[in-house]
Amino acid sequence: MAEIKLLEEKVGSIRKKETMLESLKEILDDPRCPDGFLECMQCATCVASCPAARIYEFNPREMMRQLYEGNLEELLKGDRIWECGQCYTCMSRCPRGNNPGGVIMILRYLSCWRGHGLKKIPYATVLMWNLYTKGYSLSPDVFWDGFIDEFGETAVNMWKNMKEIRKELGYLPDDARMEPIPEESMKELRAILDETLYRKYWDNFEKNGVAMKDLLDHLGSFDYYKPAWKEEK
Amino acid sequence: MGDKVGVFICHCGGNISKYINMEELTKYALTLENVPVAENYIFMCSEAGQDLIKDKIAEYNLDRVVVASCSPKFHEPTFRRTLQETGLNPYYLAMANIREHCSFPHSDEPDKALQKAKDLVRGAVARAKTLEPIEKKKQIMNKDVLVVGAGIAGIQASLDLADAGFKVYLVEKDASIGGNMPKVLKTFPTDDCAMCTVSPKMNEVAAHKNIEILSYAELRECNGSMGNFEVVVEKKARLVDERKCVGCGDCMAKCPSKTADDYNQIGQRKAIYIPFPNALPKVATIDTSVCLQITKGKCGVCKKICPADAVDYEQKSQMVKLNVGAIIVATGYKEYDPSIKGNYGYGRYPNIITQMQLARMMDPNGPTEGKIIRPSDNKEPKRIVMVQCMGSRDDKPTGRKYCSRVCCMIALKHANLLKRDCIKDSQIDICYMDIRAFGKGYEEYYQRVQDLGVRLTRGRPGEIIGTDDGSNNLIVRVEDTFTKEFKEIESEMVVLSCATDPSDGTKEVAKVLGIATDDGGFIKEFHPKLRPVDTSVEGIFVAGAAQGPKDIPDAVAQASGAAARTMALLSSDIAEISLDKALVNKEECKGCDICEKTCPFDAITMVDLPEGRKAVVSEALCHGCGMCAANCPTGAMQLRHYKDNQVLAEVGALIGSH
Amino acid sequence: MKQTRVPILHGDKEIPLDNYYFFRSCIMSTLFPGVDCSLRFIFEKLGCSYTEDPKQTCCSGFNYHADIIPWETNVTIQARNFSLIENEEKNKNAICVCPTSYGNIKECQEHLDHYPEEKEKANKIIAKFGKEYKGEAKIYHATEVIYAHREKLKKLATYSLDGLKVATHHGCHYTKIFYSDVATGDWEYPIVLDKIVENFGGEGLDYNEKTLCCGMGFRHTLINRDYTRTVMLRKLKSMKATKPDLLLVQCPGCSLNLDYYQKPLTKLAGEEFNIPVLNYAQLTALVLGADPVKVVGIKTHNVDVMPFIEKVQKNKVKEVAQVG
Ligand SMILES: Cc1cc2nc3c(=O)[nH]c(=O)nc-3n(C[C@H](O)[C@H](O)[C@H](O)COP(=O)(O)OP(=O)(O)OC[C@H]3O[C@@H](n4cnc5c(N)ncnc54)[C@H](O)[C@@H]3O)c2cc1C
Ligand code: SF4
Ligand code: SF4
Repeated sequence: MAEIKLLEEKVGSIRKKETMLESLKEILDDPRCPDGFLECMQCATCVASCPAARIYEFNPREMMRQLYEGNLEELLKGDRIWECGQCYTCMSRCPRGNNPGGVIMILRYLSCWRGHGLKKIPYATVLMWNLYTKGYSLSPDVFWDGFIDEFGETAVNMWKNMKEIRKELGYLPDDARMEPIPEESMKELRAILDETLYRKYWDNFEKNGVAMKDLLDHLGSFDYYKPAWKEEK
Repeated sequence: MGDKVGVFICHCGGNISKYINMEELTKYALTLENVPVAENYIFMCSEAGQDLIKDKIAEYNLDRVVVASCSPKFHEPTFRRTLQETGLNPYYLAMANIREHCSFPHSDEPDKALQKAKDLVRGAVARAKTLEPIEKKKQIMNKDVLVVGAGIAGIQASLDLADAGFKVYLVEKDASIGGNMPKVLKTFPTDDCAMCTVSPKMNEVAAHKNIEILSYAELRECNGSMGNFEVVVEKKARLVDERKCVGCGDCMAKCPSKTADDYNQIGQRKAIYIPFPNALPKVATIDTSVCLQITKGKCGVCKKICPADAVDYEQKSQMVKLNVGAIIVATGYKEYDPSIKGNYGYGRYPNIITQMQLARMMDPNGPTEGKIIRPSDNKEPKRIVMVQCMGSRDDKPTGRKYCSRVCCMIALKHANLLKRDCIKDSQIDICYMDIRAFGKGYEEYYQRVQDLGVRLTRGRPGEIIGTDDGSNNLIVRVEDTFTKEFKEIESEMVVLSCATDPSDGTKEVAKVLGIATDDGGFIKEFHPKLRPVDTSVEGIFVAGAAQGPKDIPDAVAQASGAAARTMALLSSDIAEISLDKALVNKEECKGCDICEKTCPFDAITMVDLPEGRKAVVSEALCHGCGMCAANCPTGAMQLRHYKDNQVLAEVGALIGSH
Repeated sequence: MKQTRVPILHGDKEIPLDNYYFFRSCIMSTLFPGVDCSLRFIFEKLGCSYTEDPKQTCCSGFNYHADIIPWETNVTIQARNFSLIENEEKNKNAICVCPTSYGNIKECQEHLDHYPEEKEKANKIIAKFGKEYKGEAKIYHATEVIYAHREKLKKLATYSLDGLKVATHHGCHYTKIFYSDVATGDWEYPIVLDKIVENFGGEGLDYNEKTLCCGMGFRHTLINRDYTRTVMLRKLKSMKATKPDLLLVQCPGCSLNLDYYQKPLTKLAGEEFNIPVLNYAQLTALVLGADPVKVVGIKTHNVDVMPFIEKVQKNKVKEVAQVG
């Protein structure tokens, strides 16, 4: 009898309680959610086209199905969503107007907002700060030694002379351009960053117990960077 | 002006009454001005419902009728007939669509749905009061039929009609009749020989006393309406006298000029050609775009060699005028051109071919004499991959949204023929999304093919690329969605199961005849369920793949259906044409030309009259679409059943307070 | 305003022939400043008016795809950049040098135009410093613009690419996001770059992995290079099989990977690649007679471009004083 009861309970626990659309709402409500998201017919064109799917056990088709089944949380906590290369080959080929790469991007941000994903973006400290202070995603000074090392001797040697080469072409050695973005424009940009979710995204690191310091440790060779954000405020 | 309007509200068996309170709506209708009677009933379109309308017309001496029910597309003709039977002019009917516009879209808001239904009924009543009688024009029915396109569908329809005693003109664009069926070698699900099935039918058509074939001919013009179409057919110049040519083919052997073989879609043919051995009429045709005599002015080989003296470089095309009572469009399909999907490599890699090309290779009378060979090196491929849904079920601008229906079975058939007859030791892979083996005996066929060891991989390939080793082999990238395995299937030849597109001729004919087409460019049926072989123009019917992707059994069944519909129409001696078309008020017309330019059917001509330049509408050509009336800056152009005052009365009532 | 029509998959699109707002890319200017210099050189040769606006900030597209800039922020940054473009007197045609800028700002524009409430929200923020996005900014990619000018450029050319074989790599964010807008047609087999090569007499190569991504992967290129290496290896091997004289690219990210990685990958691949990499603007400037070092900026390249340039310089079609 007891066994039968156990079985009964098991059946009860695999029974889906929530309705389909409810668990999907977060994705569907995002303005970037592609029109064809619910139309996925599991054809696997995306997988067959995906460079990441060849390398990892990454499977955009399966992810679409998992979302459809309501397994959002699982995806957000896992490693898989971080394997996409954001090339959008899937989007350009999906016969149903879906955009797995775009959905994955939504998932990544969700994952970060919930704190799970923050460890996956250790470079955030450097790049977010760079945008805040200089107005660029990348500029010559963020191409730290450790980054260039991997490209081998030629690259390392070239970067030793990079400042000179840039000057020859009329460019500033440490700024991306010939002249920096004027301070007034930077103020405007910072106003945008402060008033939109950018700031909250940043605060989110601390809130979720991921200290900037830990991230920096994780980065290793990023160590030239001093978290100036805190100091400024 | 009508002053006694009856309102009849239909429950549509619950489709409407489940969401809209019928009693409330009826009560409301009775509050409207000039509405002495309002009734509701479960099925207004039923005989009892129609009788109710008739009784009330008599009882209250009604002069206008409003039916609030489903879309006028379904039952406007029904209720018009009801009115006519009581002696009222059928155009005294106005409909309020409270199903598609009310109960269906607002099923979750019954109160608002009721409010909207009230508004619609109020609008329809206001419109009904302004309706004017429209008469029908009577003409003698011409009993001859024009069939355009001589594929299996056109042939079947022609034979059915001719057997029933009707005279048929069968117009075929190509050099031979037969269409696509003779090309497919064998037909699923029985694997019997396509040529042996269709060839006797072709001969029967040619021999039938009631059928006149106009081959190598195209429809150029069509005027008139149901019962009395006047058409112009251009008989293109073959530069060969059809009566003299005996089809010996000596000219083909000697002709020095070659071009891509458009019949076989692989290999080449000569400038003077008979497309296939069983062609009918079996006469040669000169392709003027590559004939050296025509393009360069020197050669003349065929003329010299022809034993029957049939070659005539001076021959001119001929315009033939025909009068017919009805037209059947059976202009068929063509294979989708996969080269616009660059990731599948067709056109860039020589060993990627289409299913039709494979079918032509399998034909012992075809360009490779039945040998399956790789175009790159003429070697027999042992590993072949077939890719399904090439262009079908695809939302992309390069794709077709619809399922092409036949390709799954074509791939299974070809896999079967390859394994059993052509290359027994071959490995065949079919990459598919779903196998749609929907027809009678098709699923059983599918199972037999599985038994042969054909490997089916469920996944739509993302791309096909060549190998870097110079072998001209191909790599098909696909995920097996069952095992989640990412596969690169290396193969020696890839066959694409292409989507079905409407033939170019189908698109042209739709334009000439002014009949509606669907999103894919196929001829649109009047009603998908109830009038599947009627087109948007009365008296013009459609059959076969011109209406949508189709296999042979369906094409033939539809052809017989179209023939039966045609016979039903032609059984009457009088053709009645309703005149709910555009009408010009000559006094207000300023001759600005705008309507002439907007009319999609070229029904308007500008005529210089003593009182000035005026627009004149041809009743025969006008479809009553209303484009001209909407664009006329002076209001001179009016659509008879939708005059400005009629539309404005309805709109006014709709937006006015309740 | 002068413009021309360039074919896209269905029909064509209008490309302006003058009045450009040079929408700079931070990655391009960081890694390959020669591309900017080349583009300026080309504009001057063509006599086109253009604006280089210091006030334009980075589009933040890299950050967006690297998961560190929320969508709302991304969109608002663009609203500000668009308002700068709209405020230009005549140079209102934004041309992006980078495909990710192109894809990203086009996507932001679509979003702002599609959701009026989002536009309002963004405008509210940028109104604080007197800016407004009206919805008029037009966005193009510089490749399309060079393609549109091809006839004039051919006349201006000092050298021809006669006899030279060029493998092209189109940026995914140019061809795959707004796929219906790809100049010259099929996004599945893009050929805008090949057309530019052919215009100067060269041959565009058809290699098997032509549409494969370079492997950039944004976060991958920063912290997960194995991914990048694996993808790139596939790409380079397939390219090498066709023996190209040059690899022509569209995107700073692709340039970074495809150029910087060739040497370090030698060991893994078991073969030397040694395919010089240039960007469309650099190649065009070169053909027009620009100085390889002072304008084209080849010193920022890892694989030596000089051997290729020597081949080009052998194909002189007309005598023109070098402009530096
Ligand atoms: C590779 C392949 C294999 C197939 N195998 C099978 C099979 O085994 N079994 C099966 O049931 N189905 C099969 N089909 C489907 C089959 O070919 C079609 O169902 C059938 O041919 C449709 O016939 P149709 O007469 O409607 O059209 P078509 O055969 O296309 O005939 C249309 C005719 O109209 C003519 N025409 C076009 N425009 C004009 C014009 N403007 N004026 C005058 N004439 C015009 C054309 O020249 C043509 O002769 C296969 C299809 C393909 C592609
Ligand atoms: S390509 Fe599109 S429809 Fe097919 S599995 Fe991927 S997301 Fe789904
Ligand atoms: S965007 Fe991501 S999921 Fe899509 S094909 Fe590229 S790597 Fe794969």
